[in-house]
Amino acid sequence: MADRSGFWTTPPEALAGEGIVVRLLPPVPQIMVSGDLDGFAAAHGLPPPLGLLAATAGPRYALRLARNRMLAVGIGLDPAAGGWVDGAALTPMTGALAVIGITGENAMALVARATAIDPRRPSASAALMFAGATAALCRHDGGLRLHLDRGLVPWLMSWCAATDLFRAPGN
Amino acid sequence: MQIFSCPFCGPRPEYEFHFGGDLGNHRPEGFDAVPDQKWADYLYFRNNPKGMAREVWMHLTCGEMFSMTRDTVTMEAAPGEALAEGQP
Repeated sequence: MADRSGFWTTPPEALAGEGIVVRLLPPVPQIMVSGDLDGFAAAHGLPPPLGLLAATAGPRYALRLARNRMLAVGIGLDPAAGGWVDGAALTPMTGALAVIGITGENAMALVARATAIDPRRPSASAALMFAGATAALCRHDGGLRLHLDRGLVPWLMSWCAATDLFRAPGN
Repeated sequence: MQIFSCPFCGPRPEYEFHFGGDLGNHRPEGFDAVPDQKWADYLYFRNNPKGMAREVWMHLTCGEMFSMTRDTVTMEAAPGEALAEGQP
């Protein structure tokens, strides 16, 4: 069989510009939880789910995605253990959602190019359209974390690389 | 950029929303017994008022379906109202 791998460019897993670094993080354990969010959070010692651009730290946190849905981060789930459990529908998302770390003093400049949200206005849901793709965004350990469909990571990296934040001067 | 207001998330940019049709345009019940004109009204005819319109919208990122009153002349949009019973 012909080797067609050369037909496609391989996007980088990290990009660095002036005052900004965008990096695909190693797989982060995640579970999509729908239903009894308070019950799940209490059973797993999770803090209340965060809204858009809310600040968190450490490996365990939760992001509110919708009225009755959140993303529990830092907790893994065996696919066989998913489904309806104690009033909540659990779906393992570690493989489905990539986590991209955005750090540096110009991190919010990338957000300004990717969305038209007002970063000073709190919102109950961390979900947003980021560069045209549905994702969830929060502040984490002084930087930003973007939870995005893993299949869209090459697209996002290409999009980031095309912004002036990563372009070499004169290009 | 127009700002719409999701009943759950609050104000968000317009590109996060999708139009869902006239509020109150319910699917006719009765299948074969429904006359052609009624199906046509449901599927193809819109109110298209000049002025205040009551519409269904969806916030794509959180999946919330809600009703919104929008002025089709001035484009002024009131905050969305949740369709689910008992929701603020």
